[in-house]
Amino acid sequence: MLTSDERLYYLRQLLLPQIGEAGQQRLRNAQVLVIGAGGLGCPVLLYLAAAGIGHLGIVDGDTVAAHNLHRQILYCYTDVGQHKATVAAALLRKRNPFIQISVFAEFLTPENAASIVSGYDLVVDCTDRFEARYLINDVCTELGKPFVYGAIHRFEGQVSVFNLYENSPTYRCLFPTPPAEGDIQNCAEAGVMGTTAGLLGLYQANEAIKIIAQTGNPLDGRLLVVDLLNNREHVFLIKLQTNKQKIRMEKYTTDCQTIAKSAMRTISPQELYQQLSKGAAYFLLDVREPEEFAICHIANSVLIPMHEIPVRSHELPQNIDTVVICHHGVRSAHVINYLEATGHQGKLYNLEGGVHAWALEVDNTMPTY
Amino acid sequence: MKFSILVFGILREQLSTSSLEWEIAQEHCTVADLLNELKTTYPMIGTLKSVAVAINGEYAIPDYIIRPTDEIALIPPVSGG
Repeated sequence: MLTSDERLYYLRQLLLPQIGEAGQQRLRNAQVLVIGAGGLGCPVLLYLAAAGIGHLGIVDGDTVAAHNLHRQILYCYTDVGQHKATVAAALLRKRNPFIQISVFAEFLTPENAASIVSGYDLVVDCTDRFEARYLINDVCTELGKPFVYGAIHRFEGQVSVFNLYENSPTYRCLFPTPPAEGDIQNCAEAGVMGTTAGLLGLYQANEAIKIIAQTGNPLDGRLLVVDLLNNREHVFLIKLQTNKQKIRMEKYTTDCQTIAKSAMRTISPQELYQQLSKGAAYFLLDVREPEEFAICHIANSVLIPMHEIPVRSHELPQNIDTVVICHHGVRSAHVINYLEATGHQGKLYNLEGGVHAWALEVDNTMPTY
Repeated sequence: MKFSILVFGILREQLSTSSLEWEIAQEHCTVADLLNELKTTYPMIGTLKSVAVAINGEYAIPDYIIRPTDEIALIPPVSGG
């Protein structure tokens, strides 16, 4: 039974026919685990706590950094350096004293995942790495837990509900194979608007509330893609494609692999610096995006973004060794594979670790991002 | 056959567009064939291990044979949070 103080707190949502006394009681009895207390996790936690989810778990091993604050709205400037999960829990307890909050100031790993997740009815995936997303999918599939998925890219986001029922699709039905590390930029590399994280986080919180209160139509078997630059929403139907039994059997072996680079020529930042200092001639090809190039680049490097390579490969000199450069050395490896496959004549070297490694090892004055 | 294809996520930047017109010569073109053709022009698509393809708003398997009136969408995975 709700106390009179709780009744007062939740009065406006108790009036909703879709929630009412029964719905509020379901929210109060629910145990929801939010994994990741970043851009998505902050609005999810804030609104789930306010809605009266009886027991909230927060998993995040990260600490607050200044560059988090534009979108991670639970944290203040004075929280920089503190554990996100601890700071978030303290604020939420002040916002709503009627709920219980558990703090896991650690990252989800194959070792701790099952024991943490098993104590909850519903999981909300607010992480920012594929490794974690596949781990959440696999552990939730193993334990038969539904989870609300959300992910953002610049002004765009995806939301879905996986594993709601035994025959519901999983994340692997949509993307069977994890991308190679570095294939897809995360917020740290691509940039992100706070409002995108906020809006998509609220879609996730709303799905979680609907599932628990047993109202409306959750995004089970459907992927919502939101394009906030053009205000367009697309819904795609997804069917169960993967064998859940197989996922359970394989025990979530995280299979995010890096691409094969064995035959590729590489050069370390130190080595390149020494060669250039000795006067060696290289064509320095930077394949990042213009916005990234504007932040920092190696002197005398030439910008041809990766997607323009197929139509501009004739601009590349064939009679001089080329060093291909990107942020961390993954996109450049793809470009080298492509150029070698399409008959580039000169030697191609991949700059190990990209401009980021160059900034750390050679040029301390170079900005990093 | 000429198709129009909607693209999302990182592919929007890599292809510098949110939609593209694509012409394919062969008559029985499957989703897998289309992806292979696109990969030759856009190597970025080839480097992605998983790209979801939706036809008429529904996830399509690689063997699906595309019809001229189909609406195609390419949905790459997104990691940010």
